[in-house]
Amino acid sequence: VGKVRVDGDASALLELLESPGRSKDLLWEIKRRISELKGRQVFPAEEVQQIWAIALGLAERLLEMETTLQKREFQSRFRDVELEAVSHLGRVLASTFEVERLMETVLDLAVTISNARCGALWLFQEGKWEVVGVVGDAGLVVRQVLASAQVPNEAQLLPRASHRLGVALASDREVLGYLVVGDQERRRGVGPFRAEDRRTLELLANQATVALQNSYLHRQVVAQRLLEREIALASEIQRRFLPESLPQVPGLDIWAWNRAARYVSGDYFQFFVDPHASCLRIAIGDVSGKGVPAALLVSLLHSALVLLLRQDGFNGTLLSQLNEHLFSFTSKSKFVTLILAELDPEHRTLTYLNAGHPPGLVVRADGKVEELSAGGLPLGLFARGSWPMREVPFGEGDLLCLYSDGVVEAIDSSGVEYGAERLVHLLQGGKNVAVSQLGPTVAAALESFPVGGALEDDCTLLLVRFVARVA
Amino acid sequence: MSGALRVTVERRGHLACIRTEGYINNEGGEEVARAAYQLLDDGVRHLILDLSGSRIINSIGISILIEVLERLLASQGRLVFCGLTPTIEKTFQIMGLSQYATLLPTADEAWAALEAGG
Repeated sequence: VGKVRVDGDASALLELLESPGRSKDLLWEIKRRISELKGRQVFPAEEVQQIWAIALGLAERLLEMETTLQKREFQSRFRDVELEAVSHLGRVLASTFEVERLMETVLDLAVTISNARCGALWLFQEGKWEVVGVVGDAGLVVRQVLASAQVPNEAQLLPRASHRLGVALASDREVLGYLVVGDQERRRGVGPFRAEDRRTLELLANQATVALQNSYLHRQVVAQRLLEREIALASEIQRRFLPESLPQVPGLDIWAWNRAARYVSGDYFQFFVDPHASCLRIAIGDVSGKGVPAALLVSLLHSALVLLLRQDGFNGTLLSQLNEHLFSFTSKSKFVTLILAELDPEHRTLTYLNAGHPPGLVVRADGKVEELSAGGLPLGLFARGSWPMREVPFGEGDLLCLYSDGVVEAIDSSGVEYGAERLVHLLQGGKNVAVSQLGPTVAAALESFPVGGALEDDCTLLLVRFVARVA
Repeated sequence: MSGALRVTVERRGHLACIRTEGYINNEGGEEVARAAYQLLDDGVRHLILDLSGSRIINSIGISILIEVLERLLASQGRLVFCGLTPTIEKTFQIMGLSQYATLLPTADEAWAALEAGG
């Protein structure tokens, strides 16, 4: 029996067996010693014991290594899961503008990747903080709202957690929301988050911020398109309340011009001719406000006016009845200025009523100008009022000019108003000119008046001249 | 999604289905494992895990489900997952669970598969 070498340095081998970090050295040593045993037939009992110890230690070490390998494979595969999840998030963010779905995906991912036990996602909307998603037992009532312009602290955002990690969803200019996760899970219990978890969360928050901004922008575009469609519709409706063509009344030369400052004008005018075309009735008005509400008020005014004229004709109580109607069906802040005029070429008269509208002008054949000054308050402001009816002569060569305030209140870049005087001057200069020529001259002068700018208010200008005696 | 995971169990002979509702994390995974081991101890041989009520699962939840799978495989049993969200299904494929367990769309299909295969 030869001398067993294992005897001599058993302690060195045992030391290696007890050193988990030196597995490679251990395996080399075992290999070397087993190689030395090759060919031997007889083993003393003591040596057999040592070989058993080595074999047991080896088995334990192999089991440890197998477990370590499994863990590493698990971690490696889970990193692939994380990459796939981030890729999935990218696809979701690119495929939808639905804020709720976007935020749910972001929160789910943040919680699972960071192995958090709970999490919440808050958005700052319309001046308050609102929780839009919760995972796990976060200690929150869903749809909780915090009325604060400041970013709340993380304990408010995730009350029940012991360890929290939060990042803001923020652009360069504003904070849009806050993503917070709580209590990182271990196999036993929970603990604080690591530095790399913050980096992952920041990556998710950055993506979520871009998606949120895109979503908000999309919302604005959709709202804008809706508004444009509504305005176009209102404009179409309102156009139906304006004359499609100029009426033909023997003895009268008629011209009209209307320009809306916006899509939908607050100005209104209409001509009414009786079945025999013996006289012309004119309405010109201006409703308060602009845009769609103004258009709706115009439609109310027009329908009431048509009904009253058809029912009772042109008479002194017309504006009282109209006022009653508008006062009943509009809010207190809404009102209408209106002139109603009736031109009777046969009797050469002009009869008018005025409710707070800029006074009409009559430029006589000899160039003298008269203001149609009688009138009362705008319609719709008070339950009752008084609007006197006046009649003035309207003979051959006389010119009636009715206009909205936008015509005389146009302002140039230095703040000077166009004014009634310039208008009168132009009208007097067109004494022998047909209104179809005079009108465009006046309109062109007005449009060129605001230096470097556009007319800010709606403009309506109506000209009617008595051109010939009616047989 | 509420705090704790809810588990409901349906048994048909040596088959059983565990349906989860909520986040499958450490606590949730342990809840599933407890239910599964109880069933296996009571003679159930094959198991369905219906995750249609669970939207998310974290790595610890997955590791616990892998342990349940290992226990079933060790006793020649089968595990069928069903009702998986696309995200969870993808996760199971990446983690290798789909190599050892069957993934089916619905619980009905899972029951049918186990009843046919025994």
